[in-house]
Amino acid sequence: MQDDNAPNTYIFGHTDTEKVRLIEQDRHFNQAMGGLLAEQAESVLSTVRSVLDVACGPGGWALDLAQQYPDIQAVGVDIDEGMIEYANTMARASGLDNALFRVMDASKPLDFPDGSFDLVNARFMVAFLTQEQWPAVIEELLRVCRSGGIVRLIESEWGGTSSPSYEQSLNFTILAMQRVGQGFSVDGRHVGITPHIRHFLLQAGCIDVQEVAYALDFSAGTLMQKPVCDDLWVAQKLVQPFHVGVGVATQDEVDRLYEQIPGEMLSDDFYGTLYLDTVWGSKP
Amino acid sequence: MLTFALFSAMVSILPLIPTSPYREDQEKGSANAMADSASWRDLLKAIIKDPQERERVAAELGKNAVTLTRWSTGESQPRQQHLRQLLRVLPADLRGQFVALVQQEDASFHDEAFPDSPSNLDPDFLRGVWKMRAETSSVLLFWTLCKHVLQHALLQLDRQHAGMSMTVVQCMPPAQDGTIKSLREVFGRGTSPWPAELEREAMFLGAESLAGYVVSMCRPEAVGDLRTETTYLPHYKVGHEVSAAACPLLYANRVAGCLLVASTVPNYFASSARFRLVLDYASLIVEAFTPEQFYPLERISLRLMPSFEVQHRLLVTLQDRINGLMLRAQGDSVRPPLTYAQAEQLAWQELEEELLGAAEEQYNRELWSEHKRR
Repeated sequence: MQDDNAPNTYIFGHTDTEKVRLIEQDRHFNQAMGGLLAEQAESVLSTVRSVLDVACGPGGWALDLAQQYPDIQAVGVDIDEGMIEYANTMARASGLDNALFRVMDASKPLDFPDGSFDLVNARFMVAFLTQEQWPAVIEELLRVCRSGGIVRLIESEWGGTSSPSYEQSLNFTILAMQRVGQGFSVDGRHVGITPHIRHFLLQAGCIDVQEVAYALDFSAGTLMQKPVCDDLWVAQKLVQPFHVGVGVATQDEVDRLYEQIPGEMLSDDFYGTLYLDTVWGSKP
Repeated sequence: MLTFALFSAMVSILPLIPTSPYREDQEKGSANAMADSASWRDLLKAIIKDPQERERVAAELGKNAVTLTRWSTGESQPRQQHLRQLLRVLPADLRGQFVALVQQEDASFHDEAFPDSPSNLDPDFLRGVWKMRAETSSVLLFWTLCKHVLQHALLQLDRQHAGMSMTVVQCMPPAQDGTIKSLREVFGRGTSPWPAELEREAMFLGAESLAGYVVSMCRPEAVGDLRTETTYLPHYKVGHEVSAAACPLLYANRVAGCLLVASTVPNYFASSARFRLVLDYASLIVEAFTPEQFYPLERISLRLMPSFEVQHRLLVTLQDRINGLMLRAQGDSVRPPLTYAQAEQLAWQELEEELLGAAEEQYNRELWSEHKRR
């Protein structure tokens, strides 16, 4: 676990633009995965009454869950106060009374009693956790899950595209993550997280661990091309301070790439696929 | 050049939407089946027995006709929000019966009761918008603020999930004569039956549209029922729209465009609280624009724009145009290279010019046909 004065290590930064981007991204990913909990059997869902979304960001996933399942109490936690304010504002706008958001650092012990939730969900934690932090964080997710409940993780390898500028920019991100101990890349070519998450659950003691992968095609001509390319383009702007701060690229380099990305990604011969991996298991 | 007076004549010849696509002269057997329906599924089954009606209901719902059949046979169960949407696209004379039958199974199901949205914006949301405006870099401000406001507005204005679309419409830059000749839909978000992302359906709007009227007059307006209403306001029904409201984006007595909102529910904006909220959201969208994007009213001289089908044929060439402009600029040793944003703006202007020409041709053709029919 990190010490009390450890910096916020989220690589995209907690800007207002990031809040908006994450809400948009939730929608694309949920669609690609066929729903909020698409892989879960009806018989399992019928037993779920309380859900914790860890590192919930602006709360998009938890808000959609509360909307779609009025009998479920959804709780989201995130380290950033601004994200939580945003989520609470959106919950009020929706008129939801079964969604609650609290400021909490996912890399520290969570302020919930043992076995508080039927389902504990955590997505894309690779963007802020270091390699060393993962096992303890997963153990903590299991602690707040009730016996027989589900711990569910989603991570992504961020895919591949035919845009040289985007690929170069993504490579800077992976190299920068490698330098600060985030991600699991051995050669700087992939984020490298997805092969690990199943084992994290097994090591923490989960049983009946299952896995399903999704591919989100956002090539030219697909409905997803424009929204996903917008998302990734904005993300590349937001991650620039991380690239430059860690020293894997200069500001001129990242600015040049940023300018070239939309022309390449929105062209008629563009190909791109994002990969999402969902792994879940039961607490004994 | 087509004038505004001529445009009024043209609006009147736009194809009329049938007020009730459901024909009352259906076979007696079918009418009996409806009257005898023991459940809402039976009633739906009887309604969609007519293939034309099945296609209409499916299209207005934004669902596949097979889904309707599955609902009617009990093979799948629609969620309550889908039942409410279904209710609104059923023939008006059968809605009462439908509600009663659904309530037999689910007492919590209500008729078209749309409680007013809260009439004021959440102070925390407002503070968030001001903070966003103060702290977001200029490159990302328009994208961030427009999306943020639309995300919040859809949640608040469409709490019952009846279906709503919201679009930010912006004035195109002035033509060579210094006047604004058209508007362009730049951002759009929707809730079912609209797709979540509306940018793919974005189009140019001109004097023939409600948005065009609102920008030209600089005052907000609403149309209660686009299927039936006779009004002095220019309007036409596109897709799932039943009622609509538009509010100009104003700053220092200048206009940048408008916020256009549409609902599947008739008279949705007749509620003063709801209409007021639309105005409030429009005033927040204004914060996404820079002062130079607002134009004096005397420079607004909108022309007619062609139908979506005509526009679509040209709009699909946008990306090729942008890439072509950037390539040509790279090969130009005299002028500096274009940024993506500059090339995109030039491509939109090229398209606008071509569409204005296409509109003139299209409407002249329609006027001529109308003249011959008379």
